[in-house]
Amino acid sequence: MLTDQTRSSLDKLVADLIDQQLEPADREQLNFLLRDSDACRQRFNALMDLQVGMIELAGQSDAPTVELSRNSNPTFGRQSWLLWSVIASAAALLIAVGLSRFTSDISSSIAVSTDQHDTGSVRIAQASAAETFDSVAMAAGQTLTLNHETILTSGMVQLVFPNGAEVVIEGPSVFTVVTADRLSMTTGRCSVYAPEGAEGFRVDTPQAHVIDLGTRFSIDVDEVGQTDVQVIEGLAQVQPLATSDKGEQVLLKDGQARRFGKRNEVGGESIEFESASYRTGLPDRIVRYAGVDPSPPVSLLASVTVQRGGEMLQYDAGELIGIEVIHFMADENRLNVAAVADDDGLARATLESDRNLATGLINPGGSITPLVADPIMSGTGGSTPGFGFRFKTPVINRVGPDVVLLELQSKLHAVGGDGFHVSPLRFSPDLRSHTIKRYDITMRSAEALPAVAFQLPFFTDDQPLLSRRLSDAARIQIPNLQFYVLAVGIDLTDLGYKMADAVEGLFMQDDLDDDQRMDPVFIGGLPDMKETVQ
Amino acid sequence: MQNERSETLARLLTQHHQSLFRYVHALVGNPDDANDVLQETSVALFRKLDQFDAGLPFLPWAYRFAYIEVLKWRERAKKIPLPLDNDVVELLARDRDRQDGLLAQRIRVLPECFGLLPQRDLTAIRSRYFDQIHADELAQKLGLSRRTLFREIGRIRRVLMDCIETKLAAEDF
Repeated sequence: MLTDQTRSSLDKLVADLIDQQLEPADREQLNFLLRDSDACRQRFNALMDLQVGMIELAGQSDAPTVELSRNSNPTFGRQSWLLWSVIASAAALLIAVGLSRFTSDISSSIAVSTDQHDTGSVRIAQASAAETFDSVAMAAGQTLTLNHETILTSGMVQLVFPNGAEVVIEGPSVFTVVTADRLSMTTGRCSVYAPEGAEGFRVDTPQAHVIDLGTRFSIDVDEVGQTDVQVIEGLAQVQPLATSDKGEQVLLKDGQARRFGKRNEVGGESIEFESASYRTGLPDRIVRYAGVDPSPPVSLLASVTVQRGGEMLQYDAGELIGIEVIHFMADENRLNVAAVADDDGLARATLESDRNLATGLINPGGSITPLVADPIMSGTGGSTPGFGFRFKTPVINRVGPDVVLLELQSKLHAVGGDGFHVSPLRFSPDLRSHTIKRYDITMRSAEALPAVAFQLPFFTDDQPLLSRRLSDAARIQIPNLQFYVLAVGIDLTDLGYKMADAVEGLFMQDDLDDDQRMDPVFIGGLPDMKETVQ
Repeated sequence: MQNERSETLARLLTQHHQSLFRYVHALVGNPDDANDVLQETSVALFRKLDQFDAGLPFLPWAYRFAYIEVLKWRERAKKIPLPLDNDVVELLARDRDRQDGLLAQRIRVLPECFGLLPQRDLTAIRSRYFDQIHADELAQKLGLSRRTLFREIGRIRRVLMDCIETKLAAEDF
């Protein structure tokens, strides 16, 4: 039994531990109590469990929360607790552990909020497959909280500052928005555009302060803080920190590039100018998709928004060019159809002619190496694993993505999407296969929407799948995980097609980089022309 | 889509995630690091799942992996002063193994006790720990001093602890 006094001291120490306010002397006392008594350890374990239970219940309760100021983050608790379902993601975890550990020095806070109305704040204008170390989705429209470090592990974000300055940051990068006109880059690469009125915008790196004098420049900071500055247009003023006490400043004009580091000569060392180091915007990609029902989970596809040649285009699902599956060959995985309950139509229709994002022909076979010759689509034993399809009308190759592919993914599987090879149906000397390892909308994207429930009918005999009806299924499995819809664009130029080439169809194979196969639920060609949308 | 191993693990983790999280959380002291350690634990479990005897309970087996991952995390974090000493973590882990049933019972009755809290207490707990509003800001919003806010939260914890004990004692009759 604990005396009231001991219990009271222990409770206070545990509360301080939870609130991360334990002073060194308190720490000693806490350890002393826990070492000393079973009863103290029992209460400690109970109090720690209470904390977990309490947060969970508080999250579920409809208790009003206090009104938040801009610096607070209303999503943190939820995110932090949601993160936890990631523990069910064995495959994702294998990737997560591969990341370097920043745990000791990241602030536990999250640097984004969804306040979209404050014109004085720094905003994410666009994000492309952007992933942060703490798994916080970065999505267009969010604002960044000042003085919070963001670790962008992959992808890109474009930030817009209140004075009009635009910065594209490429992962992996560690950065902090310090004030409304100052960015600190600890490591990584950024491209800055400061239009008229944004002069004076400043980027701090561990080795230099770079002040914009109306210009476009790129900055690349390596792991030890060495800073390369490349000026594409206009003028930038650099204050190397190693010499700042002497008031040294270096002016760089367009076409000039210098490296600033501890060991470099005063004023930095001249390096080769590379205009390609500068990014004017985010890459062409599938930006988002939308379901017919505006609130998730998503069922029927309504539209897809694509950046093509830097332009933002929105296509209604009905405008996309449908496909006809002409070949499907799986490996030993017999779960090849995702379907809705009571569907007794043809299995192939789940991918071919419906817009349901929870249904498709899944787990096709694959190959570690991509095809270098025509796939064999005889439907017999010697056939090429994977699946082939024809577009209902040929897709014309234009700049950026020409074909959109959406797939189902759970948190248990690769966060970047299931990798695959895409090949021409018929090879020619100019044509080649192309491998996609990372989707435009990944499990970590705010744009990835949860899919409605589906089931997995499967067949136990070897009849060709493409002639099967779902009502012939021998058994049905029902997944007990939540699945999400990921998306990627395929640029036919990557397969060697020339601009304006008409492409009749494609062949796809899983890249066999893990135990999971790709799970396409919608494939559509983009039509040739379209107006720009905001 | 899912091979048998990941399906099995997903099912087991879904079923036992709360217990595993509580175990790790008690040993590392905060939810963020607990999440990290739990991720590493899941990877370790995934790799070794074929060694799991499905005839035995999952949790005691999984706790062993979680404990090893806690130690690895401590090793990585050793430059920062950790709140708990190594020997204390070992004692706590041992006790948790023994008291697992009792701790689970406490969690089982918690919702009933939590439901008895007045709205103001719920708001304080939700704002401070779920929405993670900084203590200074929350105190100001609630019209309290920082010290009073912490005292209030301490009181809520004590009320819940007492309630849990009363309910469990009543069940024993």
